[in-house]
Amino acid sequence: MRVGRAAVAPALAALLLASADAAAAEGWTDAVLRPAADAWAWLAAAIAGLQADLHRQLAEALRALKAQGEAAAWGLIGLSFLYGVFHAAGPGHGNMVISTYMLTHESRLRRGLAISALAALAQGLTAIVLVEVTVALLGLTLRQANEAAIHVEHVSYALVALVGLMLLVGGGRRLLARRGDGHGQAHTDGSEHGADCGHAHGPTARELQAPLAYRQTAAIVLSIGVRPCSGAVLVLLFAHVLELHWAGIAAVAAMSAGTALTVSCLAALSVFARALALKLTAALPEARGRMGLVVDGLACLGGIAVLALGLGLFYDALAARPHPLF
Amino acid sequence: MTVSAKRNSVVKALAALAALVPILAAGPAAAHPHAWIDLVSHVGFDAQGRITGIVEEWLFDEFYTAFIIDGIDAEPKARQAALERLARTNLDNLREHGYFTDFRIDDRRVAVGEVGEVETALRDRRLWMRFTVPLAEPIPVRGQWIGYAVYDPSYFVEMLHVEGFAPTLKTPPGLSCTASLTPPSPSPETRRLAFALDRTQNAGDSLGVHFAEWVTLKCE
Repeated sequence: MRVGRAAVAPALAALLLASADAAAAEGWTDAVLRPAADAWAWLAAAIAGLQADLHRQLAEALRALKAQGEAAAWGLIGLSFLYGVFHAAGPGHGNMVISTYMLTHESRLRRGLAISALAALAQGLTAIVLVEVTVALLGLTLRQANEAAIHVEHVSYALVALVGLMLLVGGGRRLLARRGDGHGQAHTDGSEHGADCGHAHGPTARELQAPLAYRQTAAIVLSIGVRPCSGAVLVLLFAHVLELHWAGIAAVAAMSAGTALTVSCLAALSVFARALALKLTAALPEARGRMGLVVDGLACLGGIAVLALGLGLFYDALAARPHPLF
Repeated sequence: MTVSAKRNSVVKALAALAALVPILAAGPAAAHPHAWIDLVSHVGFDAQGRITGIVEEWLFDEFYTAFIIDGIDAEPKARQAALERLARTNLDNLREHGYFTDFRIDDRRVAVGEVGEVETALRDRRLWMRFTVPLAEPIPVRGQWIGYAVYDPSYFVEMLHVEGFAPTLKTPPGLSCTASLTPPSPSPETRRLAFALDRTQNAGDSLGVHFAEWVTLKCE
């Protein structure tokens, strides 16, 4: 059976269309997507409610700490951890970047978890450094600190776009390299090659990706981590007002740990979803000998999605007028 | 299975995988509220039984309060003056947003006027202010669906009525009205739309309405 590359091109086109706007998808995709989106929306609303309660309790916990001293510290730490867990469960660009990357690039669970944890911890650290430098060292007001945080946010979005570009270029180069090698498809007709026959010649996909993967990891952690978690900034500012520096920092550390837990779970889900989807695709006779192409095509799409996300967030952030109350 | 059917199934499998990306990415970045306001509201009437405006009390959360009053003088008189300037600034900024007050008759939005006086204070470490959002013109109430909601269109701030403080009415003699509070309950479809909308550049301001708490008036 000879299908050739011509079959993969429409497949990739379909992927592009599907990822461009799932909401516009008709028919069977709608039947699959709608319940998933509904469940997601319900969850998001439930989390938003829970978050409001936690937010109030955090303020209480900080005041209790001020009044009662160290005995109340564990309450604050525990609440902060929960806040981190649920805040991260809501929609956020860190989640989007990490999930997209894991779905389209990462097959190894351990590294997926490491990226998630590092990004979450980096966000907490950025918040601490930002607030300590602007408020404690420079003596600026909290409003000025907040303005600084907004600028840092812009940088973060631009970095997300760059990461997307980097992923796209990486995937594109591997696709081109495949074509340049001239193996993979042309000789597969009529013969029974293994599913990953293309990998037998030249460097394996894993070898190609190894040095790149570390750069990607660093870039992703940086792009997410440079944006301070807004909840963390609020708690630090409040702690500062109450003159509870260390409690604020401890709370943010606990928050980051909670965030890391949630994002790691999402990352693990994405890695499993990817593994399952690739396994199912590999089982299809048409995919035989072309799995490398599918993997690289998917990587390109992931790059496009992250690039679009970064550009969208950056554009939104620039176009956004300041909130009337801030 | 024909070749084209098989090819079709590859396309579907890949499309399903790709479709996971926008689902995960569909959440808006700034959708969750970062400040909370406890709300109290009263509907004001004139002697002819027309609605003149909404009297609103906003009680900000402690984090917002700490943030916004940082650097303000601690001396009581100076502090009060600073709080009043702050309330004025906030209301001036809110003016082009209709003071976050969405008043509707038969689902048509009614224009609001300009807020005049404002009272403000710190209540137990929380910033409080009270003001009246006047309707541009007084509205007679009979025979229509009338309701209002106070919400931040961007949903950056969540605004809900304080528990135990349902909206009240100050009706003139001869007019009997009741107010009922409908908690926000966006349908899954609306929520999906809300999250999808937020991906476009100017939809940030269309999210809050789906999470608004509506007050409905019934008059006889």
